[in-house]
Amino acid sequence: MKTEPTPYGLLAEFPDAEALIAACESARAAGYRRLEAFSPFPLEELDAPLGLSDCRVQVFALTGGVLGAACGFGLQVYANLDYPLNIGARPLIALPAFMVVTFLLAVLFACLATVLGLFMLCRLPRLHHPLFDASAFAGASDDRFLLCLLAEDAHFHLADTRAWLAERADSVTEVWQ
Amino acid sequence: MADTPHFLPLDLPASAVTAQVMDIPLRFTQRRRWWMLLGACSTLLGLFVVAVIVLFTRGVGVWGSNTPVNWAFDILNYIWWLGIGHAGTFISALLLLMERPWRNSLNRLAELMTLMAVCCAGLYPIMHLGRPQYFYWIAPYPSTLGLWPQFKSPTAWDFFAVLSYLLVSVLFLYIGAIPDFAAARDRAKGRGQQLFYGILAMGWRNAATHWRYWHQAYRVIALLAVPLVFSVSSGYSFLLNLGLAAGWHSTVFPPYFVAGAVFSGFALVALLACGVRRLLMLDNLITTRHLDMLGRLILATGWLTAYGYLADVFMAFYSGEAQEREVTLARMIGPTAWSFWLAIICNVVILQALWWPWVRRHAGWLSLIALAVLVGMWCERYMLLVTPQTRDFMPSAWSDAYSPTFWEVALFIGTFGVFGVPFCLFLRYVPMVSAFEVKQALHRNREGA
Repeated sequence: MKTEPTPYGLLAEFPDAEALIAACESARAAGYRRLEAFSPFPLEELDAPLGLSDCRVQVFALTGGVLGAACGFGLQVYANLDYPLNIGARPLIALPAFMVVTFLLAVLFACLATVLGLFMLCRLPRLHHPLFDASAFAGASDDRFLLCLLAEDAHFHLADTRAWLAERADSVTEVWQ
Repeated sequence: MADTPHFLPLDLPASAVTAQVMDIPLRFTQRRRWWMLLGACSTLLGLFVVAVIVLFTRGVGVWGSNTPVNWAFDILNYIWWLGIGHAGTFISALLLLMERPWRNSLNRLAELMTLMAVCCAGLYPIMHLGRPQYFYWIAPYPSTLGLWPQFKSPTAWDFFAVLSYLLVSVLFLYIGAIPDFAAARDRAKGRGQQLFYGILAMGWRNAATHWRYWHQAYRVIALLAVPLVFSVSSGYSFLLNLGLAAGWHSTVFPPYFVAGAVFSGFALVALLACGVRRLLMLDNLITTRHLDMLGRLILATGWLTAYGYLADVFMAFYSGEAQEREVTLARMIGPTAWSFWLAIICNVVILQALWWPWVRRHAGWLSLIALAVLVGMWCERYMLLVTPQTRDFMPSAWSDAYSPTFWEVALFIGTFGVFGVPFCLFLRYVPMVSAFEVKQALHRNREGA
């Protein structure tokens, strides 16, 4: 049975970063809420028009760091209580000596949690995506700036949105699921 | 020469950067020279394998280290390689946080260098064990022996230090390279290349949401990596504090070791940068200004290391301890004095050539000085590590009998193969310059101009 292809969205191509940022702002003003911008490098100016303001990666890092420190310290305390050794008559729970491993594990866990958070928040790995079928999309990793208005947006109408984008962009392509 | 913060021409188009950096792995042209390099490195790797087989079948007795010199090439080379690794993290993380855009041309190769240097270093502690098959006993796990690592000892800390450092370096390198893998995927024509870079890029889409989280993650890891460098290299200076030899207890050791580590690492980064820009014809991205900056970093960290020499010698005489004085004199006029004076000549005297800007900007001269620094730093480690063991507190235990054996030297030379073979593969398959960060720096600068 052949199913009717459903639109994923409309992909518009802009010549430079300023045009993309302006287009994002006007799309937001026009009522579009489900939009995604693509650029060859991070553009912090895009965060405001796209409504990105969270710092969840830092939360992941902090959680990982605290967890790592607790694991590192807990591990050493447990190991020393489980098999007590007299090391040069130091106290059994020797805080200064335990700080190194505590710190190292805090850093390690924080980094692992950061990477985990990055992948979870970006919904990666995802080896295929409808956008990869659009030939214009590859330009986003070169020197092109793209804006995709998603079909799931309540405001989205294939013909109207296309016309709206065509007024602003260099080119507009339809992306199918 | 462009007078911009990124040292590149203001009008360099972004597409030219992508084309140049991505076409190296995608349409590799330097096949002949690359195969020659890989062949040479593989020979060294072969030597390493043979030396390890001999070591594992006949035991650590094939090395010259013996009482009183129990720590020789094994710990010496471990410290030397690990120190080299630190410069990569330093360039990538610290210069990122300090917003020095010129680092973007150098960070990828420096991170790859770090990765392989830490691997070479990490192998040594395993190989120097009498029963290397039980190396995992240093890891804390609920074993049937009922024992745990001795957490009050720097040797147990060291396991965690190397492991954390290796993993953090890998993560930092990989997270920093994902957008470039995606660029290579998008530019690839062949199915194999698309699959290879597609899997490495993990579906990266250059979306603004991706970038936001990526930017946060990258900075967080950089922020964590900087104190990690300091703790790892001061950590292995504690390994020496652990020993009961005079000359291993100077309070200047942790900063002295950090400075020496970064110093030797910058030297290898400079050497690799000169080699990479020549082999891959990246002269326009790794410019003479970059070499100039590396030269300045080598000079500055060299002086920090020289301060360590001075403080170490001064404290020995100032301490009033006869044994400390004896060890310091043995370092300077004893049978191993060659290592002390070679370190001084390479790390302090030859280094001063870097005051002249034309020397720093000349790839050939800079490489020679970098090579001298690497030799000098190796000698410094020898002087620091081996000499004190030949001068025990008890004169009856004094011995000048230590000399490295053939297999000891072969193993060390072989580690260059362990370093070189993966590095050759990186040269061939990994974008050696962080293209997207270069493009970002170019964009920001055009905006500001």
